[in-house]
Amino acid sequence: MNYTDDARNMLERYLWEVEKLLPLMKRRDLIREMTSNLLDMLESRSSSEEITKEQMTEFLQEHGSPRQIARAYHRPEPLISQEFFPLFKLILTITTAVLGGLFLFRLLISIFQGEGTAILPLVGELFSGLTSLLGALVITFYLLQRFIPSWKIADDEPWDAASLEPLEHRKPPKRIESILSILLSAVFILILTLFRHRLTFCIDPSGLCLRVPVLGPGFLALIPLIVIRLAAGMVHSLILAVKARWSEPLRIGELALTFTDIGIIILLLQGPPDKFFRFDLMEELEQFASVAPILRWVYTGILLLILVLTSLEVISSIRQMISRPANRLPV
Amino acid sequence: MNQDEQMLLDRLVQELKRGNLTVAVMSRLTEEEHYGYSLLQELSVRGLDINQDTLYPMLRRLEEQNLLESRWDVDSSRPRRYYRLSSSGKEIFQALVDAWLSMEDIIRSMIR
Repeated sequence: MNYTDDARNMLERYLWEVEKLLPLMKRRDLIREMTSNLLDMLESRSSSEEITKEQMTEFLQEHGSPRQIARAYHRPEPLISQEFFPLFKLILTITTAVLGGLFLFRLLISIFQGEGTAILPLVGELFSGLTSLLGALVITFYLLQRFIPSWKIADDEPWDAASLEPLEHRKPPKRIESILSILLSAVFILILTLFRHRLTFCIDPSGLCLRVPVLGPGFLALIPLIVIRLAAGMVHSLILAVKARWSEPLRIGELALTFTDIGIIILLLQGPPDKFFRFDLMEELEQFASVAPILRWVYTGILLLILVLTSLEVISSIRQMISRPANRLPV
Repeated sequence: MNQDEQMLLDRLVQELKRGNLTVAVMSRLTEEEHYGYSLLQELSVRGLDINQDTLYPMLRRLEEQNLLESRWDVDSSRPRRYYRLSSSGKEIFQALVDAWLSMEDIIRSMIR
């Protein structure tokens, strides 16, 4: 049995809407079984070779609204009821984002002020803040649903399957982009492992070219971590190029890689720039003396810019993971 | 019978069905295993049309109560979760059938 893209995306949207309302602990397994059963039902009642969007709409309309389907899997007295859960999730997302933003802001200030060692207490504060926030919200909602008459799901709740927007998946990068990324990472790994001694500049005080390494001891100490990150990125790109579609593990892998990037950038900001790049040696040269202080600022500025952009990327990836699941249908 | 009476009757029949559903579902899983949709069809062929919203959560609940055991079959065209009665489920099913038959006798004697 074939499905048009619209029909498949619509079914995925429907399943995603149901999944969001299922009990958290077993939702993956439930949705897997539900998918299998739905496809069985769909295929047993269709005589055509291909399921169209219209047929899918009609089927989902008869099947029932995601809220009604999910309701049957909830225990009568959950800590936060299904009716309240979407609101709970929305408030939790907003407050977590605000808390995360404040954390990032304080982190940037701490880095600007050169208080590298103050990062750990900040992470501790963030953890404690998130825990308190979650606890306070759970208690508030628990009390709310006990004292406010809950908004029940009626058996004849209006449901319009045609209003479901087909789920658009994030497209994987083109194969050529993945291959280029793999090649680029390989080149960087080679440079950082075999040819790092060639990354030098020439100090020429008396007509003799004296080669001085560009990389400082701080950077050299980070090379193993950077190489592992690049190698992991190569594996990730390779799997993505072969599979040609995003899956949950690949998305989690991408997120882990981005977190590693953030970690490396933060480490590169720990301490004076001369520790990582030999701007101090450069400053000793007459022709570079005026440029070296600017390069120090450029170094810090670029890293901070990358840190902000990478953090935004993390937020966007998490948002996408929450709002758009990876392809799950076995069709 | 007016519309209200009909609705009331429908609801009572539903309740009657619901009470017997566990026995019906367990009876189909004593000897052979079924996945959700095949069980739905099996029950329908035998004259018991039940909603999938009722059946699928019930299978989960019976499994949580250790009356059913399940396994994922990933070798067929698509992954399917198969259910069958567990050993404790078989024992309880037998006792449930006895209780049901005894109840049936009592009810029959009352309504004759």
